[in-house]
Formats: sequence, structure tokens, C-alpha cells
Amino acid sequence: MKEGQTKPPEKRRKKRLESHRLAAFLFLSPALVFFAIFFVFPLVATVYLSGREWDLLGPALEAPGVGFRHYVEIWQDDRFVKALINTFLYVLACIAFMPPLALGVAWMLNEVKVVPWFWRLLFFLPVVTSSVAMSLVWQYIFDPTYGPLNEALKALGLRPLGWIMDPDLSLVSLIIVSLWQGIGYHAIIYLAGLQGIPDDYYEAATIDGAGAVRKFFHITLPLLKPTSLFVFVMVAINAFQAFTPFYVITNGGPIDSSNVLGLYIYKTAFDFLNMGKASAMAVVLFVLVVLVSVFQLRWFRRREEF
Amino acid sequence: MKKGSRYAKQAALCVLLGFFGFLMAFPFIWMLLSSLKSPEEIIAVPIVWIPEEPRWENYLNIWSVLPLGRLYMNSIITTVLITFGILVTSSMAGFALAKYRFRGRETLFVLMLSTMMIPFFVLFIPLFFLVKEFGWTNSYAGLIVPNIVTAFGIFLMRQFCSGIPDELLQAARIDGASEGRIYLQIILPLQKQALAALGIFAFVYHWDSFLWPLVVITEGSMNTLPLGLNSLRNAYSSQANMNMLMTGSALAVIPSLIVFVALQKYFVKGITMTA
Repeated sequence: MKEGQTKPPEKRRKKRLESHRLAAFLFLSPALVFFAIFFVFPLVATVYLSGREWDLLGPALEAPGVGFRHYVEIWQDDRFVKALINTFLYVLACIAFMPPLALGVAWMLNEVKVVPWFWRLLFFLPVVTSSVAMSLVWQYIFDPTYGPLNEALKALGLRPLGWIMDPDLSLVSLIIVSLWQGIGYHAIIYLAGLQGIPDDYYEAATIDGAGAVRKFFHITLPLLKPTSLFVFVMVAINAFQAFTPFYVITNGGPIDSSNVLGLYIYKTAFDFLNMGKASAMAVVLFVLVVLVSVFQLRWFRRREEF
Repeated sequence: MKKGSRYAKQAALCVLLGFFGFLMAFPFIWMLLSSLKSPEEIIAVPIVWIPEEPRWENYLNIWSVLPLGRLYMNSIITTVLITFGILVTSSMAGFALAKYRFRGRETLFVLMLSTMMIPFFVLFIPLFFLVKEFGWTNSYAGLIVPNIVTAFGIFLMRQFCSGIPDELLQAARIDGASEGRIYLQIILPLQKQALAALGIFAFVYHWDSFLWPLVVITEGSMNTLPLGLNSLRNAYSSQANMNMLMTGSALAVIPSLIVFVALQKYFVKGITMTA
């Protein structure tokens, strides 16, 4: 440093820039090294494997190449098509129900003045508890013979249902579990958004004679748009990757009625040891996630112009 | 009159919240009630809502099947180290991306950001291959190392560091501080709050991690808590043993609930900050 002070300013600046570049590189290097090994390499390798026939046991590099065969064959696999349809239904249901329910809960949490911390706690509990543990509990709740849900239906004079044992209802059951688990998290995000809206807006609207409904649609909803965008995108990305409740509660059954892509990829890879086919399905899943995310971004942006 | 309608609104809100809140809490209530039942009560028709004589011994007997000490230890070691790794890498990389100018910075940032969209299913087959090649299956390293960098953490810390004024760094440089000292003595203390939020988020997320441990761990002794609970299904496969599944679940859930209730404020802060 002392040496630098005697040099002309031009050189000093250059030296400093040089040292900055080095510092930036050093600070970034751990992240970059891990990114290269644990993100970039696997991503490329999955695409590579999707064109190979590999059973995990033999050397991966010598696995015979099959070109695009896996990408063609998966569409002839009824189980894959079924899983794809189920994934779409599941994602759609999550997008359709999660944000409005979360916003409703957030609104109530924002308005209530009696023990607000208690209500917040209640809705947030499922978010921080073990998914496996709660999946086991839900499995019991949905049990058609011994579970409390059917008992409650009977008490209300309704017909008991098959829930997780019924091919028509297994996916619905899992959607219920996912909503139960996710609402609190997204409600907290909406709550932060609601608290960020200045009170003046509402007061001005009240003076202008706007009712509660108009205030909601003309002030609250538009001002929450950035929050909503985040919630919608996250809900979709997470729904595409749902795994734990599906694995624990139904394991895709009965007869694949609740099989989703994530679960089927896992089974194809680690139960059937068909790494090539699993990789091809993973690539398809990736493309879907990107497409849906881009679509959502566009949709929100277009609505901005109104 | 106005006061009256305000009370009415609060009362209505409490009723609504009470109803939905009960639905949210019901699985927990059911878990606790069932964990105290006898096998006969579990499969009783019509249903037995509240156990006649609470079977506290369920909570002792479960230990012979579920090595809870070991499971908790594995989960704590894994989650703490992952969280620590995420904090270190995110803090440094976020700082570098926010406060140094170099060619390709924006591109690098956008690239890192876009990896947030990559589903884990696109990575986990080669990841397993790598871990196997490194000899890390059934080890803490296999559970921890692939997880210690997240695009999300780097993004969060970069956003946070962008708010730190450049003058602060300039002043330190004029005083002759090295870049390493600037990071350690100025940036790191300023990052504390954001790091706490990120840490909480990462901890909650990885504490519940299931898919990756399911892939890399095959030995019971290396099971994390979620894996241990999952294996409980094989030990108690009969319907009448559902009480023991509920007992195991309760023992896995209750400690984390206590921690959460004690730290609720910080959790909520962490979540809203990370959003």
C-alpha cells in the first residue's frame, strides 16, 4: 500500500481495479465452483443421459447411445402420459385455489384485532412441520374405514367417500393436503403485501364513497400485483416438483390415479433403474416449468397495461 | 353505533378464523389424540375420538423401533452445516455481485437467477452419480455438499448488498483497508439481519428435505428425521399400528413446533424478507 502511494495516480487506480477484480473473483469462487459441479454439470449430464441407455450400474460414458428414442417412447408410455395429465391438473388446481385462499386468509389476519399472533401461528404451523410426519397423519385422516374425515361426513348426513383409495378422488385428496400445507406460507407473503399498502389510499376512497368491495378490486388487488406475481410463479414451480405427500400418502396409486411427473421420474430412475428414460422425462418437466413461468410473467405484464 | 358494527366485524372475523383455524389445527389434534390410543381404539368402528385411557407408554415404546436420538443428531448436523454453507457462499457471492464491477457481472447474475427455475428432478440423477463417484453415499458429505450453494441465497444477499452505500467502502479503502477486511468488518456486520432471515429460511427448508436424502441414504444409521419416519411405515404396516405412526410423527413434530412458537416473530420476518 505504501509503495502505491508514491506511484502516479493513473497507475494506482489501475492497480486498485486489478485488486478489485481479484477480490471479486475470490469472493465469487466458492459459489462458482459449486455451481459448476452441482448445477451446470448435472444439467448438461441429464440432457446427455436422456440420449443414452444407462442402468446406473455400468460406466455412464460407455452407455449405448439411443438418440432421441426416449423422447419418442415416453409418449407411448401410458403411465407417463397419465402422470403428465395428473401433474397438469394438480398444478392448475394449486394455481386456481392457493393464491385466492391465501389472500383471503391474509385479509382476515390483517383485519383481526383479537389475538392476531395466535391466528397467524395457527395458519403457519403446517408450513414448519415435517411433511413426512403430516403426510402420515393425512393418510390416516383420509382412511376410508377408520379415518375421521368419513366419520365427519357421516355425522353430517353425507355419503362416506373413498378418498385416497378412490382413483377419482386420490388426486383431489392430495390437492387438499397441499393447500393445507401451503396456505400459511403464501398468506404471510400476502400479509406483508397488504401491510405495505398505505392507509391514505383507503381513506381517500372512503371519502369518495367507495364500498369495501370496490376498495378491494380497485386498490388492494392492483397494488398487490407484484406480490401476486411472486405467489403465482412460486406456486406453479413448487407444484410441478411436488413429491413428498405423493410418495408417502398414495405412492401414485391407486392404479396411477395420483401419479405425478416427479414421482414417476424418481421411480423410473431409482426403482426401475432406467436413467435414460428418467432423464428424458426430467428434461420435459424442465421445459414445462420454464414455459409456464414465462407464460405467467407475460400474462401479468400484459395486464399491467390496462 | 359505529363502535357496535366494529365489534360485530371483529366477532365475525373471529368466527371465520376460528373455523378455518380449526381445520388447520385438526391434523395436529388428531395426531396427538391418536398417538395416545390403543390398537383397538385405532381400528374401532364407530370411531373413538378421544382415547379412553391415554396410553403414554406409546411414547416410550416407540424408541425401540425409531432411533430418535440418532435421527435428530443426523438431521441437526446435516441441516446446520447446509445452512452455514449457504450463508457463507451467499454472503460472499452476493457482496461481490453487488459491489464490484467486472465484465460479465450482469450475465453471471442472470444465469444464477435462472437456475432457480430448474426443478431438482433435472439434476438429481447426475448428482447421485457424482456423489457415488466421490464415495459419498450414506455420508454427511453426500447429504450436505451438493446443497451448500443456492441461487436464491445469492440473489437475496445481492439485493440486500445493493442497498449498502458505495461511500462506505470508498472511505474504508482510503483508510487503507484491504478488500478482505472491508468484507469482514463492514459488510458482514451489515448483512447480519438478511443473513438471519436467509438462515431461518434455509434451515426450515432443509430440515424437511426428503427426496435427496431418500436418494443418497440407504443405511438406517444415516437416516435423517424424515427418512426415519418414512421407514416407520414398514415397521408398522398394519392398520392397528397407526397409533405408533402418530406417536413417531408427534415426536418428530413437537420439538420443531416449540422452537417455532418461541421464534415465531423471526420466522415471519424471515419469510417476508425472502419474498
